[in-house]
Amino acid sequence: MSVQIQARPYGPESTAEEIAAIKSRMTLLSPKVVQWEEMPVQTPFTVSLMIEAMAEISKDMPEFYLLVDLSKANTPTQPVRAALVKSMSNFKNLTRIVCYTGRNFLLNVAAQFVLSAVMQSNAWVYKTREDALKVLT
Amino acid sequence: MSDSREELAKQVVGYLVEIFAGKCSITQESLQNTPDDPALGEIQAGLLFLHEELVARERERAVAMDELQTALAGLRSQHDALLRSKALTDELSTPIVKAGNGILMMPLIGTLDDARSTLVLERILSAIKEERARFVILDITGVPTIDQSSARYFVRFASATRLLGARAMLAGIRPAVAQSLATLNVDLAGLVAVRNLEEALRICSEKSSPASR
Repeated sequence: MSVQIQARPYGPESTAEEIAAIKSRMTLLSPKVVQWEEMPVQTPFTVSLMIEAMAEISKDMPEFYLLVDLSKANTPTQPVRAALVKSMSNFKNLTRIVCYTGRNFLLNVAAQFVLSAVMQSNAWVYKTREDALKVLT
Repeated sequence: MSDSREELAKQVVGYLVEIFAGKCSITQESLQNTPDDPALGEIQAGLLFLHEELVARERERAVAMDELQTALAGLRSQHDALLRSKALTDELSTPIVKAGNGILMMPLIGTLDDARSTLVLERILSAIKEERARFVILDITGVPTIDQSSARYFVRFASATRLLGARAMLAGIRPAVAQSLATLNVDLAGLVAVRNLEEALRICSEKSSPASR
């Protein structure tokens, strides 16, 4: 039975089922595109789980793009932004990142802050999924 | 500039001044409550994130500085301990013994390199002056080998001792050392060499007696 992720911060006390549910939000969308469905409330712990899942999916890919769905996410705190920047910078095979935020202006700005620190170029923030997918096709 | 742009510029500068002073009156909550002006909201969000980033970096810098200070204190303490240990080693490697009235004796054990030879010379000359010594015996029974540089130090030792009004003697020269001294291209004319410490002390005693003066 799958666990429903709630809009609350998840930490190291999370159950194995919750951890699996969090990690399952990282999926392979197409041979070169990994999709990150961001948590409603992000914590450094959930970031580390998502990064683990992304590493597992992309380990044999010489190059991959990342599509980040922020449409149901709250604005990340500074520690979360710092964790994202630190861990995402380690992926040498990640060559393109596209986020969509669903018209949340706070997330637009937060995403630009994180992306600019992870990647100087090849990173975009859009409001809709359709616009974001255009960059990846 | 239109009134609204002027007002916006004034607001942004006000926030920047706050951030410059390490404060920020913008909060996540205040941003959620002002959705009527998205452009201003984005500027405020950017400024808030910038402020949070600066605060986080300042905190990291302070922690790093603390760690650096602790490491530095540890290194200073280690350095002091090493200096104390070196001073003790120097003291032990060049012991000066008063072997009688006006007689100083320095037994040397182990290899004599440049640094140790310099130290021996410095300590002997200083002791001659302090003790007003008339004789200095360098007992090298425990020195296994000698090189050209050390041999030159013995010659300097003899000359400097003479300049201070004392006489220098080398006691306990091993056959291997004697062979080295003979083959090295160093003028040993100023050195008085005796077989052992006993003989050196006897000579000193004879030369100190009133009859020999």
